[in-house]
Amino acid sequence: MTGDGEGMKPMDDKKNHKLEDTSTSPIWDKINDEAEMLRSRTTPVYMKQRIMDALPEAPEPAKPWYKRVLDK
Amino acid sequence: MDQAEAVSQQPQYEDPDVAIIARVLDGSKDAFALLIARYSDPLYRHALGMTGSPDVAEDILQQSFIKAFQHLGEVRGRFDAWVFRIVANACKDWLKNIRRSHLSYDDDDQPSSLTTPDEEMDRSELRGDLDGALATLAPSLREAFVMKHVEGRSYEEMAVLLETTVGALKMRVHRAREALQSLLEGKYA
Repeated sequence: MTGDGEGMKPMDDKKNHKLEDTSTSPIWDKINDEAEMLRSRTTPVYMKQRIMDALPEAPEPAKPWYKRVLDK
Repeated sequence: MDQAEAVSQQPQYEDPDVAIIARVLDGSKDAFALLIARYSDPLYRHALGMTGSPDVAEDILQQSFIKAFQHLGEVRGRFDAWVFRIVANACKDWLKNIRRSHLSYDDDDQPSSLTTPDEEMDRSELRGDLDGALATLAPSLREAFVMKHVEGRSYEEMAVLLETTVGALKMRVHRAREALQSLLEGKYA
């Protein structure tokens, strides 16, 4: 991702990966290692095409806000 | 009209997602691929952290992008936060509905940096134990823990994406950590 929005910045920009707690329990070192591995995961390469192939022809026409509330 | 004038008359968007959405709504379905490329990785990681299953994460990602495409005309505000909530809700619905037997990252098809069979076995066991412990948490606690400690997000960013307060999220993360600590420390401490 390029992460142009503030809410989903690239993981490389994060400075706060490690658990904040200063607990010295070895379990948190292990969990940190596991989390580090998960952060490197990327979407399988076939997914983009799979999603594009599954899309309908066009988005639905936008409903007025009150209709969306009533439909919930 | 010269080229400079034509460019100046095009709508200018501060958020590039808005321009892409406008193109899709104008009939350029292929432009939606730009949004998939931009946001699929963090969304996939969230779904993987929440479900523990690559297959389920892929299905949730696909269904969420289809839903986002169908309702693209209803986006108000930031697309990334909007599509994140679609994925997050799908993950929580899955967690609420599923009676899990054994799902883990074991069907991982991505290369590992570990070299020895012993290291692989230790890691596989930790994954299983961690996934099992996470599965016992309430979905909202698991969500907060995964976003903070797996995805590495700030509390402020989480508050925007989940539409809640920093204080509430700190409490959820704290409770998740306490629960995980008590579930796992006997084996790993």
